Amino acid sequence: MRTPFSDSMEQLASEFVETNRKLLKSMELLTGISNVDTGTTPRDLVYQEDRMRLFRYRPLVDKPSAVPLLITYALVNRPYMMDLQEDRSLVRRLLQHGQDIYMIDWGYPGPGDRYLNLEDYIRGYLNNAVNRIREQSKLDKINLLGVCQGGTFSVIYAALYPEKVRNLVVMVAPIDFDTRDGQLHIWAKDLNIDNVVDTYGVVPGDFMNFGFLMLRPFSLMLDKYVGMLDNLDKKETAENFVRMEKWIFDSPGQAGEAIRQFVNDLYKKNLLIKNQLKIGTRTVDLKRITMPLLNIFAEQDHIVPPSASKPLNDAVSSKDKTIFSLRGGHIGIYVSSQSQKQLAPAIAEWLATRSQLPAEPVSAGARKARSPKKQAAKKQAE
Amino acid sequence: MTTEHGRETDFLGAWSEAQRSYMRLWADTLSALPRATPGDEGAKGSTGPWWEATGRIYDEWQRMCQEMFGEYWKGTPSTIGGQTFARTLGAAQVYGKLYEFWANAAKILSGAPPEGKTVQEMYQDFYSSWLKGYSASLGGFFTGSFPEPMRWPMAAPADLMTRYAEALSQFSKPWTAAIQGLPQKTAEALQKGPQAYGEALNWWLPAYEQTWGRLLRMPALGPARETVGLLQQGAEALVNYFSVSTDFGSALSRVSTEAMQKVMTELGSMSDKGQAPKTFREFYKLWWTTNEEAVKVLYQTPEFSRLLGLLVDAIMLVRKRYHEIIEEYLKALPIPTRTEMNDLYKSLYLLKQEVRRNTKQVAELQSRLKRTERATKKEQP
Repeated sequence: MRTPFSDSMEQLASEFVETNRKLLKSMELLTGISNVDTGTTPRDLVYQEDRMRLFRYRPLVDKPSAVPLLITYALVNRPYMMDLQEDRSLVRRLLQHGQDIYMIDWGYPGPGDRYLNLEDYIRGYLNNAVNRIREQSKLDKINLLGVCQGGTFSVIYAALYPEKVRNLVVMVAPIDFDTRDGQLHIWAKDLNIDNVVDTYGVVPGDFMNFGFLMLRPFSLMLDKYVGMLDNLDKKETAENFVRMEKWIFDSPGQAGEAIRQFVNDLYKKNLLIKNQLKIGTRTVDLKRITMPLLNIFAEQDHIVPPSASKPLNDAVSSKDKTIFSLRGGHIGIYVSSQSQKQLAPAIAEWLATRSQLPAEPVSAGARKARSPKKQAAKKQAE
Repeated sequence: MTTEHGRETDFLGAWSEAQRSYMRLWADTLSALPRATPGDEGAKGSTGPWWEATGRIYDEWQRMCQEMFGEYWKGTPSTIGGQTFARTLGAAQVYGKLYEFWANAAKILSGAPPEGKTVQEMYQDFYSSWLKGYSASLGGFFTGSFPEPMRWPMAAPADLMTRYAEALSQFSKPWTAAIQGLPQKTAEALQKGPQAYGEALNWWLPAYEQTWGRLLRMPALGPARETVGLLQQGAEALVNYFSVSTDFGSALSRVSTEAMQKVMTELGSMSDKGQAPKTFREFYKLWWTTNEEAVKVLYQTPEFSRLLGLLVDAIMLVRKRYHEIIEEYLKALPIPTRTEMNDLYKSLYLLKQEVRRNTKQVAELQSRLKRTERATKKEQP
């Protein structure tokens, strides 16, 4: 017996029964998961200020890089995406390639954080974290890796404090916001963020997530789950799926004044690329970025399109600047198998050739102390 | 499944039983199928045409999903796996609805096209007749998936507004009733003398006491006009939200319907070429990718961006009004309001900034002092 479409009625029937069976199987597997581990690479808390915490990962090689690398993630999602699970961890791969890694966790803003602005985050928390690492490493300059919105922060920071950044790496970072390639860039123009901030104070993470999910509603809210039913054969697969789900829906609220400025000054007025952005009293001039720059973007990124990331290289004064792209989307760039194989080695190698130090780390203070003039003065004092 | 909760075991027991009855229904249907071929109205002794049987199975499955899972989730502690399954179930239900469409399409389109009609026209006819229920089922997939902040105005404040409106109506009822007879009573009272006047006043006073008077004697609530004004503004914001969300929803619905029309045209065209999807899964892929593409095109339009901006604004306005009303009522209680807390947060924020500035200054001064001390030591013989 044949229907106009299917090979047989029985096939149509078995498809239906099969879907039902898979759904039941998914219930058995998924509801058995009460929690999943994320961010399991060993690390230590080295500095804390308000809700911001700075972690240092324990090295995985005997002699890690002498110049530490600070990873700055976005405010809109949790940074454990960089260390999602053992076999999908950019952090772990970088550690294996000899990096000495620090990472900022911005935390979950509470109602009292509504007045935190971009200056507090960049000239406050980020700068204090950098200073702490400089103190610990006894170096004047460290390496900085900013991801997504954290990449924008890193670029702003490097322009404000070029004397503290040895090498700058940015991943999928929006810099030129005046693009019609990314849907968020279009919608933001009509978004009255003032009204949102005035109403909520701290803008809920769910509200932000709405924007991301709406970008591809059928693939993100339907086909992803239907596809999962096909592949859900064992507990490990279910846990991996749930782990990613946990990250997607684990969205911290956004401190009101910070998101207000981010949307108004960057998404709407595009002030950063025009060198007109003000952070507190200081104007951000991208031409002050002279250190080596590695700009990484994802070719199919629908959240931060390549056209928003690539213009950075033309806006800075750096002579040594590299652009690196990977196939894939905004999230795949951190966790895909391609990323695990290509991205971490590329970053580590790029940094290694630019992080050579004299025999041992020398801080500014130490350098001054070693200068002949200083040594003579010291002898005299003794 | 090994489980820590007895209730889960109960649930699975019930589920297994439902599965058994479902499978029995399925087996019965399959056994009837040879006697009911597509295009056939059903052979003697069968349970009816095969598509009806398929429809029954679908209905049974839907009912089972809704009842079993619905009951199960009511009291289930929220775990990350459970939340993921809830989302999966939502997707599976959309998938099931599409299956229903597919089964119906098989029913209608199994025969040759009516005389004078092409296959494509036959597909379009089917689509037009089926369209009516589309928005309510698959077409609503999108807006039904909105997160809490976007769905919020439909729930909490709507309920609150209704209750406010009811309260207001109860509140003003005695006054309205009393005021209707007041002119006559007053006129009578004036004609009959002081006693009658007193009686009229006594008749009118309780109404006043129960209504405006009571409100005016509640200083914590403020003057009545302010409260009523807030309620009116809240209601207005809600009406505005309904209006904007209707525009927004209809834009999405229109695109969704057009996408389905495109799917049908494509299906007809593929069928003509003998390339129609062979399995439901192939059809499903055609459906969702066509929809995704259609939505993407809609997103690119300035009109959609404007509507989205208006929708967000409307939601914010409802929430803002809601906060104002709550604050108005909270004034009577010794509970800090949102505005008061915001003032406090602001003071705390400014104080923290001041402490940071001072700490930095102290550190700089200490460092300067040390340098001065060192310099002084050097100068000493």
